[in-house]
Amino acid sequence: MKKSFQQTNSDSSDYLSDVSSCTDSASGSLGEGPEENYRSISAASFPTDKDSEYFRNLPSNLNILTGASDAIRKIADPEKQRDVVKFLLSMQNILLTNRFALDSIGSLPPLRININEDDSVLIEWIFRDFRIGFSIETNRSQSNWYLVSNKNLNQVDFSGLLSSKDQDIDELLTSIIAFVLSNT
Amino acid sequence: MCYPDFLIRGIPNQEFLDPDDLPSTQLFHFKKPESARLPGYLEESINWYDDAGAISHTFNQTKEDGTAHFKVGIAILCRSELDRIRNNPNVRQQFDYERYQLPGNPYHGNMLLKKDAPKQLVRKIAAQLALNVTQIIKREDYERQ
Repeated sequence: MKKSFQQTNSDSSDYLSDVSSCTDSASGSLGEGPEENYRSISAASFPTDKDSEYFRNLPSNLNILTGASDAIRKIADPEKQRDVVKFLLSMQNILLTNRFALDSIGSLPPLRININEDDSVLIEWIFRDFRIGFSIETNRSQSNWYLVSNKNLNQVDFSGLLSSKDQDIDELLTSIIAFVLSNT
Repeated sequence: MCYPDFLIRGIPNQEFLDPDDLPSTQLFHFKKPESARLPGYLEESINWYDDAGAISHTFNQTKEDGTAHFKVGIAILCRSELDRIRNNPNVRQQFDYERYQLPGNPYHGNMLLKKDAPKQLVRKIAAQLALNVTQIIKREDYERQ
């Protein structure tokens, strides 16, 4: 299996052993892949309905997408909005897939979705000892992700470009959820 | 050049703190245009914690209209964290810091970032800085003392 975390910190070997199922690199970039699915996604694709599968199956303390709909509506660029929605739908699916494992955690902080000064969108998951970020850039080939931790978690330091391929994103998010499960 | 162990980054408004009072990553984004003084670099202001006066000085900094520059408070970081980022082989001299005193602000310095640094590095450095803030002093707490 490929690895999803691109190692950029020589001190992170302990961490790598914990995520041996990770894939090799988040290759490619948003926008390079097939467009057919991408074009069909819009802000309306993102579920706000409390009866949706996501809200029905995840208790509120694990619903990290609280407020996501409001944040999505603030993104002026329709293509960037679609990128964000596409990414969040992938995140939602991975959360649903892992819902039974997540039950043991208790609660999770919500994703923070902010529009940066250069109109890129930063989707960030902030924990006390680590931060995970996904930056949807105006130049989509530069969209990227990172995972950094502090001394309590050995100062790991990973980053990479964000792939446009659903499978690559799913593998990356699966690895990230595994990290969250191991360190929360 | 001699640097103290700590530095201060002002927090202009509540958007830079999350509900748990953790600093946002955006607090460490480089927002200013390319430096005219240092072509090829972006700079963001900090104050060096040379002595306790650096804290009161930062809280007392005002904008042109006379209002407080850092309405919410200040974030304190260890210089060793900046050194760790700066010395990472993957950063390769794209991130640095300096002391650059200004008239009326002897504590002033800058964090420096190469203008053409890859986006993924820029975002990650900002997250590392935010994650490693050692203390937040909120204005309301400071003024209550």
